[in-house]
Amino acid sequence: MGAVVVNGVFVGLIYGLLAVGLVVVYRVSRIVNFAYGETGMLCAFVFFGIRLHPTATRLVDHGILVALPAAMLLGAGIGAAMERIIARPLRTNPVLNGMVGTIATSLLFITLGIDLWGPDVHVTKPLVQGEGITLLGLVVSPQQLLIGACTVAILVALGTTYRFTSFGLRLRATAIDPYAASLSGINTDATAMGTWALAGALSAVSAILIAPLVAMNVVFMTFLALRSFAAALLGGLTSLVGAFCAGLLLGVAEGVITFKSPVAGMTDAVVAVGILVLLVVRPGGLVRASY
Amino acid sequence: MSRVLDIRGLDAGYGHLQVVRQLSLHVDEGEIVALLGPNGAGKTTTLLTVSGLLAPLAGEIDVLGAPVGSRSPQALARAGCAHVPEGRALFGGLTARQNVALAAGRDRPAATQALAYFPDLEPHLGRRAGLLSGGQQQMLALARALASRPKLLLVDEMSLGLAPIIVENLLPILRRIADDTGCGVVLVEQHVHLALEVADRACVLAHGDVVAAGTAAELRQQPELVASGYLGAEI
Amino acid sequence: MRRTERAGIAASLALLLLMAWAAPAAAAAPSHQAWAATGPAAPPNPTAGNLYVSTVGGQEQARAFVEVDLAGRGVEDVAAASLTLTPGSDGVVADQATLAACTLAEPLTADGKLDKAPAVDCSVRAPLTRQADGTWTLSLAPFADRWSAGGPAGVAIIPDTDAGPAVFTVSLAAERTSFDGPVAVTPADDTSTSGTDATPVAPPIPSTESLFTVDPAPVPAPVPPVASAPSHAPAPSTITTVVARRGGVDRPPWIVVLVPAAVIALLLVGASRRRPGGVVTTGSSVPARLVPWLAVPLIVALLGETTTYKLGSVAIVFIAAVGLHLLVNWTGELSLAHAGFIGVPAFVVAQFSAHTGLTPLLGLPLAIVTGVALGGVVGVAALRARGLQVALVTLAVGIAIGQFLFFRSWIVGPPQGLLIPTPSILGHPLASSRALAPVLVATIAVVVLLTRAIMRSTIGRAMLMVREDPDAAAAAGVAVAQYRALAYALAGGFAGVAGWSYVVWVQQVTPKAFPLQLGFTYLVIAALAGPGGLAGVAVAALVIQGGALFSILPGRTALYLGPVALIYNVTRYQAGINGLLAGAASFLRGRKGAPMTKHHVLTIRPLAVAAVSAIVAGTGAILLAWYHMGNTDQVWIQNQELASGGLLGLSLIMVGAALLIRDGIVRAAELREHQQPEPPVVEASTNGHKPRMRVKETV
Repeated sequence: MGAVVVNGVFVGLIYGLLAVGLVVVYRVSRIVNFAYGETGMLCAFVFFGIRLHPTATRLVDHGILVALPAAMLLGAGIGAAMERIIARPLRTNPVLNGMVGTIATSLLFITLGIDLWGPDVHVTKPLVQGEGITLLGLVVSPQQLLIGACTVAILVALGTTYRFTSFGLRLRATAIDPYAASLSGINTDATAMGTWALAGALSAVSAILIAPLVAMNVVFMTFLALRSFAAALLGGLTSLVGAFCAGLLLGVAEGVITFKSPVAGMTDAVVAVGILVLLVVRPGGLVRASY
Repeated sequence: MSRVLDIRGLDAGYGHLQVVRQLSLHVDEGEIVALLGPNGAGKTTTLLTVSGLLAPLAGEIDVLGAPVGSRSPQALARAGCAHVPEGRALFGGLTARQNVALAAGRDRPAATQALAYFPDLEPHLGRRAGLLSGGQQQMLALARALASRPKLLLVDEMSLGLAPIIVENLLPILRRIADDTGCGVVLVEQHVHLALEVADRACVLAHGDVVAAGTAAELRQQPELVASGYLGAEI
Repeated sequence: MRRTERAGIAASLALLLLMAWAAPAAAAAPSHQAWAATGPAAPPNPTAGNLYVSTVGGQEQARAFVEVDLAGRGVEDVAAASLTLTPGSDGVVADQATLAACTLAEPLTADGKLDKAPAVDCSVRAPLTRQADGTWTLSLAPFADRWSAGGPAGVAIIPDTDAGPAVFTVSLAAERTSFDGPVAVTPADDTSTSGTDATPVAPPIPSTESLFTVDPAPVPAPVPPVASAPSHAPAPSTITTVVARRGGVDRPPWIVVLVPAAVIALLLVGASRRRPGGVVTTGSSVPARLVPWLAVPLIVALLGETTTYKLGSVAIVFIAAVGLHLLVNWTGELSLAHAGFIGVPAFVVAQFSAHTGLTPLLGLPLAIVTGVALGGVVGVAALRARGLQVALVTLAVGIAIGQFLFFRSWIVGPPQGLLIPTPSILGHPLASSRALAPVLVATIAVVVLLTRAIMRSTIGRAMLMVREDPDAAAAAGVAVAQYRALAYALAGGFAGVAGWSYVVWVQQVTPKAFPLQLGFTYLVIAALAGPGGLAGVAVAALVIQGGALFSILPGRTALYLGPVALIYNVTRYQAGINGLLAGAASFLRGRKGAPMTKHHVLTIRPLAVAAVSAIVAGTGAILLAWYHMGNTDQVWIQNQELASGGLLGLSLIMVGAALLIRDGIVRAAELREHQQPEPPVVEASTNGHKPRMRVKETV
């Protein structure tokens, strides 16, 4: 049971990271990015392609130093492009059309992925090797440790940026009210694009972190991202902290539920029921954003 | 005295609906021009067109000597045109100080100088803007606009929802701002009497047309000119 | 409903029933086909609709089974016949493979259930011969004696590793399996069966049309990986059935002449009129209203079994899309659980029918109730939540249904699918798609009329108000939350009808038939259709589902074009196909501008009419060419069709477009001269920044 919980915690960290990315984008554009997982997927494939198949990609240096920035840049680029093409024209009517637009984009990415890399599972290499450590009698693998460390680092960086830098202030202002932000002289276009780019890079990192732990094929992020939508929803779609904690909780809950009940798909059923109940009881989500 | 705002033959509206017809208006440095008129006359529409939030249907608008063209609101804001809209558009979740700091950007002294005009705000700077009272919010909105060192200030119905005594205190501050910083102000107001006390010139709009214009002194002496604009009577 | 419309529907149904009942006895044909994985290295990503025969390292990994329905033919007829198998797209070293066929020792479908691979008897065995064009033929002579003596008529196709390479995978497109020989029945000639001499009465008819159909592959739906949730690895099924149904080759000749003539005559007489409210209907004049309904028997008469089957699938998608259309384009809500809304009622009907043995046609009330109940549950959530939250809730519900409910075998049945008894009316079985067509057409008629009634009623108006501005609607006394819930219930209800139709039409449901991604496809169709009436939904369903089924565009292009077109539609255009139709209609009537005006002058400009006719004719030529190309695997025929139909159609379209452009220029010049009293069409673009004068949303 303990091992299950540990595994669940680390999976939950990834859910949380993804949920944070979703909320960040939602706050600035009022759009749920259904292509979020697929963005990360494309970047992860590029990353592992560069690292593991240098001849195929004809790159000279195939270490992490090239692969990681390349993947993150790709993620940022995709995010920025999506903001420009989908989110910006839909500023005044984002809900349905934004959803459909991002769903269409996710289909596009999946098709592209299948064309480029085929539908099979690809080989990945853990980013760190080693024995792992034993914590309170439970074994934690080095990849899981890396996930933990990266997550903490990312969250700390995000949090400080949001709270203490003027860029973060502009981000928050744009998220609260883009109209007022433009009146204040904030370049809302650049801010929005920057936010999407940031989220895209975040998606890339999340995908790269989780890929060695699961079977990496073209749709491996789709399923994970679906869980993150639930987590974001539990956070009321606007609270970063709430979304992250919800993601973590979901990961652990999933582990526990699968352990306790071998019935397939029980987690999804529980999540769905939970969300339905939650919406009836507390429509604003569990946590309100404090901006 | 240079013109900070020059509107010539403006037609403005929303889609097929034309709200403003052939409006011409100019504001010089340090001038306060009051834009008066009943609801639906087109006053807010005019301000929106000037600050780039609405594209004009016809006519020309020059802000600070350069045409508005298709510049975005934030570009115009950075060029020195500050718009305080109806509803104030504050960031309710951020503190008062943060609201002002946002507009000041890198220019920290500007924030301090802006807040200096509103000493009543001093004790509340750390509170969230959404929790301030109406009068305090209006002061904050003005301070925020001021923090961007504007050369043209557009104020839309700042007295809305405020007790007259507060409005009486705020309007003279506007006068001081115009005199001190030399920025031109377009003041859209319903409180005709109070507005005419601080304005240099005024213009009355009714159904999109200018029905009266002149110096504030003239209009104060001929209240029937203004009243006809509101009540629709022939002059 | 007008009298004329009722008459049209009745006439249509009568014609269809006539065609169904007039069908002669079905030909001998391959009936059931299946393949089974017999080793650990069986093809890991099989394509639905294909059979596989594979070997790795000399060990057989997969084998295929083809059962043949002899329809009572005699030894000589069987001996002179041969089975032809067409290769699929994902073989490996298939061109060097060697295959052999052994007769089945027990029937493929014993009591209607397929749960284990049938035993084979390789003492009766024959090799398959690979032809130059890639197809495999199997002469049935060695099996004739055994089969006519009463043995089960069917073969297992196994790799013949003694003769050929040790590693290969042959994939066979099941829908192209055909049966060539004198036992094939020609439409006008049913007397060739009892001959005692070996020479056939009529020359063998090469198949240019598949004689039976297979389950349509679901829209490419990647199965969610078992990544972080190791709990539910789907149970591997060892047998994959590819159910085939017998096709009728019936084409009563007199219908072929009469119906098209009538339809064309009506088309020429009809005219189109706009209804207030911006909903385009094709005409209020008597003949024009009959046209859509009479076109149906025309289609069924002209086209064969396969095409009818595929069109039926499009129709089922249409029915489901109608519900979503009401929800999305009329009420402004969202649902990502539509696949589940369709699937659960489908499984309910399937289980009901499989367990009670009653015809699935009786399951309609069950399906509707289930669908409405599902929709209602989501609708209750809609009462409390705001827009996007409900959408995410529907996503969660959709996932829950897909991952939980659709893995419970008491809902979805065994992994190889539930076998449904053939639908029948009062004991008379409806075995082919053509026979079932009246049922489907009747269903669509009811759906369309019901939807139109809803759209024109208070409910429809209220929905539009809720979509436009919920706050204003609430202020006007509209019970916003109740209407939202009602919209979800309606979506569920229509989805239930679609699920029932699926069961009736396809007569088999597998657990994987309704993946979550299918719900996305429906949302795509709804978004493409745009606000307005049902015409846009029909076109969108045809384009998306028909495009997938009929392979109108090369597969990959469609998969890319689809999302790109959709993105363009939602970000720039936003009026959808309904908008296009409305624009076209108003253009034809010589009036540019806002479609909400009530005044219009009917001016027919000959140039425009000619242009549109050319475009329509060109499109028709292309479609006909595609139809022929899709139904033959002979490359030289395909090239012919491409050249004649395809290019001709293309040139017609270009001519039509040129005429239209010319007409546009001429009209613009006229307008300038005559100064028509049109309101100035001014576009006030707001640079994407609309002033937000209203209270901000809290979400």
